[in-house]
Amino acid sequence: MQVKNKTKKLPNILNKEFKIFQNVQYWFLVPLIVILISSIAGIIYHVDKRFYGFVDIGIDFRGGTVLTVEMTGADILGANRDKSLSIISDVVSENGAEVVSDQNSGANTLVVRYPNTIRVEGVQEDYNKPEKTEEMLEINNIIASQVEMKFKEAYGQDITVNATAEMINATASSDLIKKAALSVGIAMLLMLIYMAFRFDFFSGVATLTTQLIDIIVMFSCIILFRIQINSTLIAALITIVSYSINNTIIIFDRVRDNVKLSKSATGKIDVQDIVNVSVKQSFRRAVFTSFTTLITISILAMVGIRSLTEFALPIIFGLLSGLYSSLLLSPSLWGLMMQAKLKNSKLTPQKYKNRKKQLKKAR
Amino acid sequence: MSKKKRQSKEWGQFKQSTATVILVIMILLVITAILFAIPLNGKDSFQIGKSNYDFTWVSHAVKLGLDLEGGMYALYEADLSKIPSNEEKSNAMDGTISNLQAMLFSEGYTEATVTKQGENYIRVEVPSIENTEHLMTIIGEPATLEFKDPEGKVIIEGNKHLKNASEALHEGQYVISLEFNDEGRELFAKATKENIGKTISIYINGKEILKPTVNSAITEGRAIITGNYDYNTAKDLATKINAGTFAVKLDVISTASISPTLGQNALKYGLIASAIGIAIIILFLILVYRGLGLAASFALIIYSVLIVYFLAIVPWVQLTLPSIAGVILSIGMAVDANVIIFERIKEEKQFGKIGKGISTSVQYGFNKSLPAILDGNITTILGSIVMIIFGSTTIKSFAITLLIGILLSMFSALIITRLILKIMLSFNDENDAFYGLEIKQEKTKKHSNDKYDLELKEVNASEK
Repeated sequence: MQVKNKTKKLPNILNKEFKIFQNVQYWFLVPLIVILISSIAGIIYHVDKRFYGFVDIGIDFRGGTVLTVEMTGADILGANRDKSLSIISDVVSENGAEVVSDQNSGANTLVVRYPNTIRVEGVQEDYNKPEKTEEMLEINNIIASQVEMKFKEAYGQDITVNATAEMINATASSDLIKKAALSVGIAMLLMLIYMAFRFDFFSGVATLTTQLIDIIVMFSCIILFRIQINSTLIAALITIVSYSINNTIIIFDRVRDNVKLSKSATGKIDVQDIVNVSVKQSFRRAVFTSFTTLITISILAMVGIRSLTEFALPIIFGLLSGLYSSLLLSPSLWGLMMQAKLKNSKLTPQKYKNRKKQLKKAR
Repeated sequence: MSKKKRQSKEWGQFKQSTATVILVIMILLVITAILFAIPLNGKDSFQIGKSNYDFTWVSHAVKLGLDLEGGMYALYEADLSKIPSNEEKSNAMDGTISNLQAMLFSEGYTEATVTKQGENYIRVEVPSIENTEHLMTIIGEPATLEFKDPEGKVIIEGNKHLKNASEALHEGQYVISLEFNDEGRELFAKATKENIGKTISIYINGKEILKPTVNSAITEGRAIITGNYDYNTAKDLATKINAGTFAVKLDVISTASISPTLGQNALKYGLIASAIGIAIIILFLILVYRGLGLAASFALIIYSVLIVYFLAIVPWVQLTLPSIAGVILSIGMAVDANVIIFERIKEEKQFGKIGKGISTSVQYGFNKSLPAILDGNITTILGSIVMIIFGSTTIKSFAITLLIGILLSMFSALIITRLILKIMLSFNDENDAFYGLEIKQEKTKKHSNDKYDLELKEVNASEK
């Protein structure tokens, strides 16, 4: 038999029997390990002074500095844009900060932003704290005057250049986060209710739980890989919530069908078989569709624009987690709950049906 | 049951001539739609006869957000000289910023950002929109509002006692409706009580615009200003009065255009990524599902064209990075629906071996996957509606495009793909290999799951 297999093509894993429910305890290990690793990493980032904290919170949430450089006498933009920008970035990084965004303004002005995180001798510190404000103002003044000096060196002394660096607040207010959390919360609750109606309550609970797991895993990866958190992350999180539920529903659609089939074929709900068969039936579909979405998002991540990468990477983590959890976690969770229920109520569906019939007759 | 029978008779029963006509019409429509969407020559006007017609390409009509297209910014200096303590100063700034934000939002500048810069500057950034001038007239010159008693003593000041000013319709005339805060209500009640029969003058920007006679004491804290306003002047003036209620006086220091916050090329690369993504998906669909995939790919192209149109047409869409995510997500879901359907078709073909032709398998595949697709999409639709209602601006723009995308993707997967398949089947409904539906013997190997497969077969048989 084995010799025969060798001459054949690669064995198709879909011809194997899926043992999902038998190994249910292992499926929960993977997300736990991811969460554990990233918590350790987060603690290291927090303790080690070379990083400035547990997570890398971006300028949208923490505020930072906006540096406006205006030049007349020579072009700051156009063909000179790259040169101008690199002069500014160099000055900023010599002073311990890092430019995160650059914009043109009008015809002769370049606007860059950097977070108020200053690296001094390898140690990063948050200069947004009130007691550091004075120092930050000073650093900004130094940066501004150095930029002016370097520009004159580069473009000749006849130009007039005017650089101003000023601290700005967070653009994403706490109100924004509250509203986001509220709307996602309400949306998830409505989805739970809908699922409880269309499927069963356990499917709803399992879906909600896996959504939460996906979000947590996504956050863990953000912590682990030190992806900067900016306001686009909120959109990324919601993308994953919507996508994950869509994936999970397809599986539960199969579960719903197979429960009916199991009942009519054997008169009882064979939880293990239902879970295994449902996962097997949706395996190809889940992998294919996650793959197609992953392609588009990965291309977005790879084009090399910082903001796009920051946005796409969390979505990629979320998609992978969503694929994993919708295939392995949500049907397993459903199975566990269903099994517990069947054990508790000694009534099998068949008995229940019989009893119903008897009651009807009695009437 | 009779309805079902009729459906199965109709399915795949286009005459070849009818199918050709439908196909040609569809292709022509799609090509025209693409031509209208994408500017080919870069010129936006064309000549008919002797006159030039301006034409906005559909893709140009899509409104882009600050992050993708840039816009303009205004820097305001706040006059904090009258405020004594530092704490009060920063409170006043915060209050002004949130008022400014609320005002911009109510004026339709939903994507505007307002931030504090330095100690006493406020930076406002708005996406490029046609009437930046209108914006400047509103936030450029806030209006002060004062009520004075007959002796010329100021009773009510807009920035201290007013809660809100809005335009309203009163006895067939547009008026400005004022709502006082608690302090204002008491003062106004007291002043009207003391001055019955006399006049109270209303000043906007130091100019007396109304001198009504007080008939009775007004205690509910509301007043209206009449004057021959039309809707627009009433609305603008109300907005300016609202701006005048800000705790601090604002002066514009500088305004200028500003390039996209996400950098110069974010939009370009976003579009390239989507195009490559769609190309790879089409390749994938055709490789895996062959004829079926071809139909889905055609539907996907129609979907992509339609979404450009809808983004341009639906008024409150402002395309930002999050909304591009919404589009990508809905492309994913459109493909998803097709994959679900095709997998079901394969299953039908597989387990309904005897006497089940391609047409019948396709029909059953569509019918059986419908509940799953509907459930998946309805939950997402529910979610996006909730986010449109409760979400903040970033989330709203994401949710709106997601909603448009999902509705279109359902349309494309369930109706367009189906139509195209029907056309294809009327030319060719026997070639299993073309549709990727050959039966693989390997798969029928015995294992414990077979009882469901068997069951499935029985159910199918009984449905027939």
